[in-house]
Amino acid sequence: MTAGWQLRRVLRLGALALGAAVILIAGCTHAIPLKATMGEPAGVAKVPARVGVYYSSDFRNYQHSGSRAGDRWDFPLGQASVTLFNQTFPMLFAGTESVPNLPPLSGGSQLAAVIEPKIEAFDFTLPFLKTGTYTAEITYRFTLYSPKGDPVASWTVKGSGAQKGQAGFEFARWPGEAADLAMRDAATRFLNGFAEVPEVQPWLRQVKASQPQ
Amino acid sequence: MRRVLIGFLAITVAFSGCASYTSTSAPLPRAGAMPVSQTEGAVEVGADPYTQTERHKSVFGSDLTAAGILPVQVYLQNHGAEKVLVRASDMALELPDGRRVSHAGASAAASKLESIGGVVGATIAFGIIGMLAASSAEDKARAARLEDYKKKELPDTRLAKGESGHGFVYFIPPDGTKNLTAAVLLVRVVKVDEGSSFVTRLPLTGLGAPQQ
Repeated sequence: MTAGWQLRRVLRLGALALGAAVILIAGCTHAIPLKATMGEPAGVAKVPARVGVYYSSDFRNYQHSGSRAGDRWDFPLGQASVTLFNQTFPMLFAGTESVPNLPPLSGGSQLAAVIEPKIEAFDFTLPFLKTGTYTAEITYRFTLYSPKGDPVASWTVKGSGAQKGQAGFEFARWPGEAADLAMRDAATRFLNGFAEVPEVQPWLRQVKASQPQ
Repeated sequence: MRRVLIGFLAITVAFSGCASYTSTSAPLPRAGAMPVSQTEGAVEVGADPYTQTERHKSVFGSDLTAAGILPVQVYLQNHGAEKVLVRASDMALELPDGRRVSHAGASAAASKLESIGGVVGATIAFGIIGMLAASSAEDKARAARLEDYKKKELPDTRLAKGESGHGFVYFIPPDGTKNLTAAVLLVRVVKVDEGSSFVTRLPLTGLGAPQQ
């Protein structure tokens, strides 16, 4: 065994150790899968109006990136929220229509209002052990505009979700399921609470009054 | 085997006290006793910004200022006949330079206080058993802190005539915000029956700058 061979061996081992250390320190990035499915809750009174839905590009592309336990966790919340609200709004309004911009709407529009959701806050926690509980909380702000473009109401709805994890190699699944539960919880609260928002009530009375008897 | 068990129990007992959170009640605010208060229409709004480390430690178990969190205790009383609604999500701090800081939820505030230092230390010192014990204690402390911060947070408050409500609103000013002396707390009050609203402005006179 020559001295040169031993030196090469030491250098190779050193390079391997350095590589391992860099990988450990750098951490991983997890792209969180979100399903964004919504079941229709019972007892939601349908609003007899056709309403425009505006998703800004900021909203559509909203991504929450958070660092936890040395890793980066990317939640594509905007994309998932568009999927979620495309299911949610038709559960509340008699008709919906996607609009490309905020009102004032062009002449001839039959929309009674335009609604715009925004993501105001998102937070998540990871347990120290994978078998612990993952939690997520999301706050949406909804703004309802008149066809002329005046804000009628602006309010927030918070949803939370908790999901127990399991041992294994799926790192992104449990935070994703917690976030899905939080989004669904917020959408359910939106549906159940819409008619209770004080600023919405005068608009609702107006909509009902304009219905043919 | 017995030695391992005894070692595990000893480490568990040692670490269960390491990361713990004990909930403590905040003093109940009283009408007319808040450092800042204003009555607009028939609604009295009082505010007590918690800027002192000792008060943070006694009510929230940690120095929130060091984590960049400003808790403001808010007291509301409706003296009028009209029912009103006040939401924490409608509140904001207006900074002297015109920037507005929206309220932060209890979970955002609680998550700023999370730490893995104890778990890392325990892992280095005691290996896998230390990590398991410390992480379990840390999980429990984190859950207890979050629950307590949520309990103390001002909920959406509907007040009929003569009713009052109170709770904390958390703000996380941007890093480097030095001068909050002239910050103004903006509180929107919604008249439930009419659906109209007005904003009460409370200058938080005497509010110190959070230590960065």
